[in-house]
Amino acid sequence: MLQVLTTTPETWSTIVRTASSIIEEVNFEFHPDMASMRSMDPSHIALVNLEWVAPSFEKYICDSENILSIRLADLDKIIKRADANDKVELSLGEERTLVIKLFDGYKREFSIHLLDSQYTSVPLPKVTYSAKVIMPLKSLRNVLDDISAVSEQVNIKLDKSGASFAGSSESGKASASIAAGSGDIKDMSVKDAVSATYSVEYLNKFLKSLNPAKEISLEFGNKMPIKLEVQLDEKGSKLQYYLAPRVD
Amino acid sequence: MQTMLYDKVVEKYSKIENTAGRLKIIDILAELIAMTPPDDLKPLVYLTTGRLAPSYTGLELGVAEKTVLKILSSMSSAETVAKMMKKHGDAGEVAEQVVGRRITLVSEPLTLNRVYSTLLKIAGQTGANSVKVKGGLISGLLSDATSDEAKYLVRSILGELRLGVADYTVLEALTKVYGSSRESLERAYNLTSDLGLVAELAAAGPKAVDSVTIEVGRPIRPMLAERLESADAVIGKIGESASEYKLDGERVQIHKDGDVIKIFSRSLERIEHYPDAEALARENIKAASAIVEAECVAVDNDGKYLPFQELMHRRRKYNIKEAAAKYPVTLNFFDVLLVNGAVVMTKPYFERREILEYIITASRGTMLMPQLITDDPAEVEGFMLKSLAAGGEGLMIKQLGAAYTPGARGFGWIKLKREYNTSQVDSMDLVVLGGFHGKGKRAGTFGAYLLGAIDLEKNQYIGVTKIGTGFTDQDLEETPKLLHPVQSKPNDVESGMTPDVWVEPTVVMEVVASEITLSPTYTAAFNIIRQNTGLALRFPRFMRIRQDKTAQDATTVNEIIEMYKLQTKKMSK
Repeated sequence: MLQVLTTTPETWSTIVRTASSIIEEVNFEFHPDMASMRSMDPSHIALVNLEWVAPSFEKYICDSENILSIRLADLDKIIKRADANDKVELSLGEERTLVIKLFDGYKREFSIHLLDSQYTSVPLPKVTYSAKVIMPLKSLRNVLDDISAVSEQVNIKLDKSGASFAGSSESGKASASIAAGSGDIKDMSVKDAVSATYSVEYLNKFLKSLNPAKEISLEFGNKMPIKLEVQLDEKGSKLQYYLAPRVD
Repeated sequence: MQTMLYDKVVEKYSKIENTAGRLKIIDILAELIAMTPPDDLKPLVYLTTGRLAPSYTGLELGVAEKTVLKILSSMSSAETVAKMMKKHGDAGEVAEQVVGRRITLVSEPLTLNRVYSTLLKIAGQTGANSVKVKGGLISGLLSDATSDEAKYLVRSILGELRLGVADYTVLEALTKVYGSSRESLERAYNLTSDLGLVAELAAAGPKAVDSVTIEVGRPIRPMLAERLESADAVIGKIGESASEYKLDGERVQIHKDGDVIKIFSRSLERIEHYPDAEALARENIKAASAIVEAECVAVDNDGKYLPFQELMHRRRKYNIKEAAAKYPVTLNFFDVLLVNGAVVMTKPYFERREILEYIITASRGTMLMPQLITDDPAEVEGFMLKSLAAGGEGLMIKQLGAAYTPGARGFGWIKLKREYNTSQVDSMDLVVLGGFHGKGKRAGTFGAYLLGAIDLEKNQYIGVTKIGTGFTDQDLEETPKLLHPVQSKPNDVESGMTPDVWVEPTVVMEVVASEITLSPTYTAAFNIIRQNTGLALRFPRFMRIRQDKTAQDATTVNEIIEMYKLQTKKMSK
């Protein structure tokens, strides 16, 4: 038995948009205490990891493990039909289908076919992070937009004085810095200065699908993958994004 | 289960690439074959010889360079990739560098099996979403590749893995590893046209190699003819024999399995641009299954044979129906190799001809090749004139008792072309080995080409002439598009003359020349006629590109030696 209900489509929409920016098919796992999803892009450069705990749902009934293989484009089209205040309920239908009900205004029911894809577990990268900074998502997006005006990639440096961002290309250079203690840095922890370079396009794949009012944490190390994390709510549900660094 | 790591394969590829000398290459290849488990032999052989499957299947990956460059850009940046591409001109090297500088979140070692099965999956993609899916599959492989693996992987994906490992080199390496003789492996290859299958048979032992036979659906390497200069010489050599018209068309091998007709070219490729010939074969071959050979010739409204150039209008991928209506063809049958499941290839010529007469229904578009059995040279000459008058280019004269010998050139069949005169030697099919930058009107394209003959003993293409005459403006424009330039002289090429640009030896040109001369520069037949001297063509003239022939079908050095001897004999007359 599987029946899960959320009061708005927002989280579904965030998850589907984030994942579909790097991959076409995913496995949603429903465990008795939480829903999860972990997917890596075909190049193994980016990974999305979702932990969506039962208390975050309005209603969460799941008495056994369910792994649902879904083509994201199918789900996306349906979630897009939901109004901002619609409740979203998912359950299993006949003949390997997923039933999605949207209601609050008028009631709607959709079903999509589940895929037969084989389940393979995706491991999390084994990384130790030496620095962490928490920023308003809006600030981070602004800074990245600055850098991407000239460069496809961004070098991020973090030291006790704050965070600095830089990029360059044949057409020119761009840099931006944010001082520790300013409103654009909510919290940070760093011992020695760290620096690493990432693709702006791949960072944006994640950032653009999030609600800009949220805060985001960045964890990374010298020439290490970066881990971006947003809290989906106050109940412990979170969405993480790992991105491999660029080496030049 | 034992698995072959792709890493081990590319390690040997890299060695082969950096090795000059065929014998050493055979050694390295033998090491590679010896360490490959039998299950992985087919993939190994296909990939190493730049294929995905036997050539006759026509299976291709269909991945454009720009697709690969886009993937590499996503791993680095479009700017960096464009810059590297400009510098190296080889997507493989760009991949090597990009992958070398990239870090992935997780990775696992690539196996040969995973590489091969993924490539097959890529080839199998069709439809609207296929470019995207192919891209995903390629990304998946590259995500787990080391930089060396990425280099060869990308070259394989783009069909640009040019190790200079010819099919015969593989046969020799197989002989070294598994002990079957080179002759028996060659026989198996000539019968099956599937190098991967031959490798598997070799691993299974000599019995398996010797018991393989022909099958409907799998092309057989065509039997080839020797040539002689006169009807007298032919009758003197083989006595009473069957003369058949030699028509100026495309030699085809037709496989019939019920209503399914597959036509293969001389170079063993499946050809699908003769739907009219397929229909003719379906209706007029009276056998449940058969493998027959015919000359496919274009005809005009009155049924008169048209020259080869007209038939070439049919070599196309699009508007096949329109072309078939405009340039209809006839099938002129001349041999049968298998009928109703029975192999008849080994029967003597006259019996095969009887079978052929029995199973072919004559119709507007199907007939048996005109034939005359005689032991009188004068009658042969008379028949030759008839052939020429009908639009043929000479005669094929066949020993009555000879079996069909796949892939072999011998006196079972003898080619007799129109009378040679002293001012010109017979036309030759030579392989383009390189190009020379053009000047003046030909600036920006190749102004001349280096051509070579094939030396079957050395298994190399040997430069014999530089050609710059006989090209139309269209030839000059079109020819370079067929060629694949390479960085340095390929391993299977030898030449005393160095072109500005070396190319992969794959394109065949038909040329005529005023004579064959002794040359201190060119190395064909070196030391054979005279010490420190080879043979070369004088005043060569371009006739046409032979898209129906592969480099392996080119004129051989031995044939050039024969022609040289023939020419000196004539001059002394």
